[in-house]
Amino acid sequence: MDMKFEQFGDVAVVAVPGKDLDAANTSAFRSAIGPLLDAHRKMVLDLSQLRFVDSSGLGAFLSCLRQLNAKGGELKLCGLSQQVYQTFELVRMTRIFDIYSTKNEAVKAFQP
Amino acid sequence: MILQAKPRRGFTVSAAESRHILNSIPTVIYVLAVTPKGFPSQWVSDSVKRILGYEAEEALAPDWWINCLHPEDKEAAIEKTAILMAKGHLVQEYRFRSKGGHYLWMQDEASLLRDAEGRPKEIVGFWTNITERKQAEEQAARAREQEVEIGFKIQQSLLLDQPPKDFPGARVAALTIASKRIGGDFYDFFRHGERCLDVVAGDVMGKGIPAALLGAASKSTFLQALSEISSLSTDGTLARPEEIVTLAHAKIVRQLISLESFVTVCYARFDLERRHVSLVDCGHMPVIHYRHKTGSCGMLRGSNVPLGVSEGEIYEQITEAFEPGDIFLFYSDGITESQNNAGEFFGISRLAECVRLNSRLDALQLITKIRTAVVAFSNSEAFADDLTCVAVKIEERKLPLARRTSEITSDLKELVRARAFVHDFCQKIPGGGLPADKAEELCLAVNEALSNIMRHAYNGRTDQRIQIGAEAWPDRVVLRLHHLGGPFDPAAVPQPVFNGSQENGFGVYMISRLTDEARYLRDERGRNCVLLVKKRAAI
Repeated sequence: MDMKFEQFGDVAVVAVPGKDLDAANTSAFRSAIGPLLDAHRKMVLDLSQLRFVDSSGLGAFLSCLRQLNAKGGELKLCGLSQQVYQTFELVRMTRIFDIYSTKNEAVKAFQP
Repeated sequence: MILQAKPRRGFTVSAAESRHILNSIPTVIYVLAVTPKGFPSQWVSDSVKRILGYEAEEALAPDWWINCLHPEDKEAAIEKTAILMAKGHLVQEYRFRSKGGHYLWMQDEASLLRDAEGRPKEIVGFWTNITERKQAEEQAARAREQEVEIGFKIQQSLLLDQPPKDFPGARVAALTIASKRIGGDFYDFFRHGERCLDVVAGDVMGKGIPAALLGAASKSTFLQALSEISSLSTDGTLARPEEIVTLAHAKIVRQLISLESFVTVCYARFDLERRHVSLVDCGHMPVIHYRHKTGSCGMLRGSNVPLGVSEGEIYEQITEAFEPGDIFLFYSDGITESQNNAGEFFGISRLAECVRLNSRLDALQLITKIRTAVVAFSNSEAFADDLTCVAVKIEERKLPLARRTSEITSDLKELVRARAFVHDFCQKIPGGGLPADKAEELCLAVNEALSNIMRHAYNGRTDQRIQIGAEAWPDRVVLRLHHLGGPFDPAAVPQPVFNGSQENGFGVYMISRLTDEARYLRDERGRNCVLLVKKRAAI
């Protein structure tokens, strides 16, 4: 999986590629994002391309959050479609993640 | 004239000779005194040494008998001496420790001798070593138990098929109460699309594993005959029941005759579209037909002979019309011939009355009532013969607005295709698709269920098949996911944790939240099935 990211100061904004994140491609996602999680402490995952996420995809996002939190970093999400947001809500993940509508809002939220 | 036995002239027995005789017999003879304190041994034959290993002197010691009794048999054996004192004679069996330390089964037959005044004087008895007989008996009992167990397994796996759960227009339920000894009752169901359902109910003469095996063979012969005739059909018409039975009979008749057995069968085809049943009755119990319109029961009886009676037999079918609300009951003679304490049979008319009185119930409740009635009548749950019956209740035939099936392999890469199938089906329901949010929820539920099947039921194997069936009804959309992987018990899945500490284990929870009904069952073809229901807005 090809993972593109932009740097805004010390914040890395990673665009999650593809329309679907399901059990078939979460492991590819996990290995692609691994080096970025190692290299950064502040990250925004931009989910605006994503139209479908299943429980494995949610598990992968949780894993990102835990890896960053473990080293004192932070993760924020942005660009969730209504369907993806509802899936997060279904398993109460909207309470666990900081979710913003746009990339800019998410990046701004990192500033003190 | 009175004949008297006289001692043979010149035949006398010396003390040494009598000792030799007593030592040679296969029993131990003993004499006990009867005293207020107990029964001290007076004399024991020398054969005690040969049979039990003890010297006669050892066997005379106080409490020797009690001490050598097997701990589990001791209490009962001692208690029974009261019977000896009361009745004057006692035969009992117990385990007894030999000198070598191992236990032998002994039969102890004792008689009480009285003095001239009638007071108990002494006990004379003899022990016989019955260990071999006991072992043979135990072995036979084990073999019997094993036969029952094997029989039960044959019955469950080979003789009795699961009735279809979702045949449109007919509810089918089956009842079996296994007897102490397996019989050859069998039944089978063949579906022909959505329109016809064949019910085959049979009974092989005789009992035990031979009957059960013949039952299994007969059952598979019908399936074979059906598929052979069907494969010859060029225009796709179904083989008629009379053709199927005639061919099945031709295949099996010689074996049945050489085994001196026969099989009674009823082969019935329910045509739900034309609303009639075509029935080949081969000497089986008459089928009870409850007519909803008249509220009464009739008997359907053919004139064919059982299978295995004569070669070259041509079987003929009869046809009977039915209406929604009608009930057909197939049963074995085990039901009608179950007896009450007065020796009366349950009988066909009692059974028909039971159907009539419970005709409002569905098929499953009806056979439960029949079971209760038979058990209450015979005042027993242990029957001499197997009790089997199949109830078919005709319903108003409802067909779904739309139905589609698809098959995928157990590869996670197929999830995206499965979601597209569900999505497309939900959109194209005649008369209006499922609202987008509901369709998306159903897609996600199907996705979670499929990924569980692929990862857990098929253990990650990617080359297995999963059939997806979708049905749209006016009030709901039903998705069925059939697979042959391991069964799944959703109750065994722990509740998920929502605090972010857990990255997986959400699937089952999500399915339950995304659907109006989620069931995990085994379908009539032995496949595991996940059934998901999403309600549509009320129309």
